[in-house]
Amino acid sequence: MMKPRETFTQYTTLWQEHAAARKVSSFIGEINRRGYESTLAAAAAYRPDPMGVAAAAPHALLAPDYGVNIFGVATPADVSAALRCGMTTINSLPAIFANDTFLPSDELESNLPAGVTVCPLTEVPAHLEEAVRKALSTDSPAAALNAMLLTGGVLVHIAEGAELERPLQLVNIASAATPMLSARRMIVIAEKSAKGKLLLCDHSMPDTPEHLNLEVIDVHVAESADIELYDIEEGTAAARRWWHLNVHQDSHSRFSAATIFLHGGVTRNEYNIDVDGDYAETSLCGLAICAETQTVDNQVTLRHHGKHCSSRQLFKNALYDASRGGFGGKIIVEEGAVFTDAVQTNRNLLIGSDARMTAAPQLEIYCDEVKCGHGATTGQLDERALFYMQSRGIPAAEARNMLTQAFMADVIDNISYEVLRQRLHVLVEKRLSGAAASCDACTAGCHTLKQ
Amino acid sequence: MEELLKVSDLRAGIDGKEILRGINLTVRPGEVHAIMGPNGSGKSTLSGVLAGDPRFTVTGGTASLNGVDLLALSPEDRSHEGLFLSFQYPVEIPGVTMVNFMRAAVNAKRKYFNEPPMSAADFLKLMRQKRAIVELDNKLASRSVNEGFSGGEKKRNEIFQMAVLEPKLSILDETDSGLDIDALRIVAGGVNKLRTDRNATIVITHYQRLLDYIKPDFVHILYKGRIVYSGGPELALELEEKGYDWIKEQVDKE
Amino acid sequence: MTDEINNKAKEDDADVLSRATSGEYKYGFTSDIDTDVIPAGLSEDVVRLISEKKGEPEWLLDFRLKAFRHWLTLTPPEWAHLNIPEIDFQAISYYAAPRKKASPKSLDEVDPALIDTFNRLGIPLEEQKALSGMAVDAVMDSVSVRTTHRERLAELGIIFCSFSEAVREYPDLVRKYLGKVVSYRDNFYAALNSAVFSDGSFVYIPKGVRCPMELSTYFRINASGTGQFERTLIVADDDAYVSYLEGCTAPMRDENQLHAAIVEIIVEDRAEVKYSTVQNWYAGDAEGRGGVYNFVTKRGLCRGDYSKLSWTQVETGSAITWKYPSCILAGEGSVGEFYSVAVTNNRQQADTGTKMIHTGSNTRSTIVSKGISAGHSENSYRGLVKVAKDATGVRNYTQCDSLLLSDTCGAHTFPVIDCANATAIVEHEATTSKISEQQIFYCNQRGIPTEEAVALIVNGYAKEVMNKLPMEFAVEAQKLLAITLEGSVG
Repeated sequence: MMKPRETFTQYTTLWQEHAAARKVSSFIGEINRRGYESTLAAAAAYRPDPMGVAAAAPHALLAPDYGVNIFGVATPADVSAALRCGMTTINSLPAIFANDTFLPSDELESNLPAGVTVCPLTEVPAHLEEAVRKALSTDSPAAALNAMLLTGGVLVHIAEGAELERPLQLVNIASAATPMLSARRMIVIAEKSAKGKLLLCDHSMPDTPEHLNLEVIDVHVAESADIELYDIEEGTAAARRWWHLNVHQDSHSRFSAATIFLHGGVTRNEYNIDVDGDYAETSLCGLAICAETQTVDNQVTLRHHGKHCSSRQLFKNALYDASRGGFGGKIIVEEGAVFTDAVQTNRNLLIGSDARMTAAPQLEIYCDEVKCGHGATTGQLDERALFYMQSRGIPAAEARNMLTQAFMADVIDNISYEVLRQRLHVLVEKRLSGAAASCDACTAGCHTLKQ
Repeated sequence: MEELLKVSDLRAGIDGKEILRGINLTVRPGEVHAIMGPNGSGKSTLSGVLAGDPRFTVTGGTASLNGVDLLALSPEDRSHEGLFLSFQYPVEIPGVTMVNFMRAAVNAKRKYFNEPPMSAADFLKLMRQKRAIVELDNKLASRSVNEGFSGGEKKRNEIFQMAVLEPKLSILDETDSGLDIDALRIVAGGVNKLRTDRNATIVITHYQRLLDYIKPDFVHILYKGRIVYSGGPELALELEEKGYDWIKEQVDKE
Repeated sequence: MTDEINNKAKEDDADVLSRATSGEYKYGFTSDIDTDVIPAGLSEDVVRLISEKKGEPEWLLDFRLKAFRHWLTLTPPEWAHLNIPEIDFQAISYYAAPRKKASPKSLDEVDPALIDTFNRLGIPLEEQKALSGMAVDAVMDSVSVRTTHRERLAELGIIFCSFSEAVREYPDLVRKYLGKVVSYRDNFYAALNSAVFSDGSFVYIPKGVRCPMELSTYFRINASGTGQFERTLIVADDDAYVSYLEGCTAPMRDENQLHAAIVEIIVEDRAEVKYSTVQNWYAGDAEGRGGVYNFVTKRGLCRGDYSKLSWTQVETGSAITWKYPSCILAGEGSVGEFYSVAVTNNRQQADTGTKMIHTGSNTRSTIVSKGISAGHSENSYRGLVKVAKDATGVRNYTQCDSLLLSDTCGAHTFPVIDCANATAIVEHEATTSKISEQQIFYCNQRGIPTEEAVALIVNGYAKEVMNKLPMEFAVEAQKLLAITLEGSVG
């Protein structure tokens, strides 16, 4: 059994052995080196789950012996299979991430609105290099390890006042014959008053053995800018995912994110939000429907530095079979962050007899002029509502599905992009009724949920 | 005449406490029965037990609807077989719209009788028609089931659902509670419009008031879990005049 | 204009604050009592010496030695939201006793200075003056001084005595229950206490007996440079009932004093124990000098079916508080409750809360925590609600509220909810608020001065918990709240 720290150092050792032989640009090389130093520091400081309740702890995700693409070889992936994803019907601008490699396309380029740049991190224009360096985080274990291992990645830059109205859709595909760790990085820089929507879809090819997607997204939302980020996960049971979102918000900015777990293996989503400016708004949502032994662990750290900011968090889980849900939500209101209005809600349905939910909603308040609250509940569907529906002739199983869907509805209703919202309502309904989760061609191979 | 509902020596309770202590009741098509009684006599337990409310446990006796053993059926199948309960406290279901709720109910019943689901157009037409019966606002259709409805709207919503599902036997549990006189008239009017010589109604109430609008053929008095007195409509008037005390005295003496 | 008013308000606050912080800690006197103190330092020899001084049987010495050896392998816990200066455990004396007979037969044998001390604390030990309706075990430094109302309790078969006496008189009972709820392996301070515990109280309520009066232990640290390590063991047999109170004070000293206690409670079938604490150890001065480190492990085992354990605590004292009175709800249908008011002012730090471990079916728990922070203090609620896989029908409701009275304090909430049974309903809610200027203004307009208004509002805020205290305690606790918060309007 590997010690928690060693799950990190196995990769630093590997990296160091091969660093000299890596063929990467000097820009990427510099990021890798920074990532290496940060990973060593992160490993030294790592405290594994002091309460012993983490649903998906980093060291557990890192423990298996994954191969890493240390030499930056582009891996082939079945692009057409990826685009079978039902989400491409929502009028998006699709692009592909094959394992750790961003695949640019001429088509995408020609459809991008003025002022929007989407390019691989290996081809960052010189005038944006400094901004990318600044935005690229290495101060969390996930970000550090990701920076050390990344070979590609993608930059989305929205210039001052520009708008990315049709969402940029990144379809992430995991496809390999051996267990692989893929380090994906996305950097989003929205300049002053810029607007943009992003949609991420995680898929894995059906024959891909256990694989870890180490996905890090850095977002800088400048003054008065507005970014919406949606993430839909439909991997196979072999998928492991460590997802880390790192956001900085300036004054009067808006940021919203939603992560939707429909199918997968073990997922850890980390949200690290720093609201630096004043009068900013933040909305974070998560929804997970877990069955079998699937695990979803959402960990939020939201730091209010600025004044007059508001934040909303809403995370819901429906846990079937022997699935596990985790929620850690920390709101920190720093000294001087007056008139903060922060609310955090976590609701869980425990359905499976072997299911387990762990919630740790936390508040750290260092300022008195604030409105802060959180609520967390774990329970079952309302028995009275169930009987009422049955008495009107609706069969018990169907009534349960309707109630579960209703339970999920407000998370989806938070999504402002209407086409996507409607699509998600359908996806959740399909998932709950036991049909293929996403789309007719979906390869995820979902199973009927046991009641 | 054929028997629609036949209840024999029905016994039931909650958390090990016996509430119904042997109910006997027969309802034939076209009839309206009123069940009256003081608080805590078991009126709501009786309606709950017949509809299959899981809070109650049946400890003895039988109940059949058109010869079908009700007690062996799930709540939804009792509904399909033609039993309707208008709840004393209609349940709020956040996030489930009235439209989705009723479509699920209608199509579940059709499926039970091996009929194909109703087309969207037919369904909307049906909803429109039935809404008129209780003057239910169209806006309520897009809202969550009973959520944010006023007391009167909730009760009208119950009768609306009854109109859509066309039950053989309707049990109205304290439908008059919390209604002002106008709402009461609308609700009762709806019930009367839905009456035929092939269906029947059980009105459970504490007061005579509702019976001015829904005329019963029979009146039963429930006390301490038993029907202690049965008679015609005049019994309700007598109760209104004299209260329940004389019944209590008489029964408690025995 | 608004700024001007704000600045004025701040000046007023600063003024009020300085007045309040200079307010005297009422119990800060020291008593000149001849005390037997062993030299500072901790070793196996010291553990043996303590055991020898108390004339303990072999099995208890073994228990202490095991605990001590285990303690050597541990490091102090660091997970709490506390800034604890390093403690030199070799600089503390682990045994201090008033130099008189350990267990006086009558009051004549008690040092008059001791009686005077407790009189000044409002705890008369003379039987004729003893508080009616309340039996008190008075503990000074390491040793129980006297227990009142013993004879009356004895008639009912109730045992209420010092821990040392229980070891001598009821060794089988003590041996049966000691360390069964809080093992010496539980944590760093539990191990330390198990090695060096000096005295404390022992309560046994026999089957079917409802204890007719409140039982109370009053703890007083007096000697300097010593720690206090008492141990309380309460056993309520089938169908028994007892309400137990705990109060404590210490002199004002510049150095920090360590208090590391253990409370173990066992509740059998249908029995009920109410445990109330008003914690008023010396909190240190306004700059954070001195004050007691209160590192306590309290836990009850609801072993019996339909048993009930209720913790109520009003925490106003101590420089640092680290305590989590907990319930293990093992018996079918057993009930756990935790009602807490924790007030911190100046440089005080508190990290307190509870654990509700539901292992039995149909068990219920309620947690109501009210944190009040003022000055530069840090106040955290930390809790765990755990539902074991096989525990069906479990219910928990948790309400955590924080009230902030200054813009320099911290108020934090760290709950963990771990639920592994699909029939459980667990609810947690937390809010943060401050006293609004409108509320104060409203009171002012009605002629109530600001300071009084704050006390009024805070008491209203804490009422839900205060109501759970026995009457005598509630009045004292209310006064304490007001004193602790004097002039802390922010």
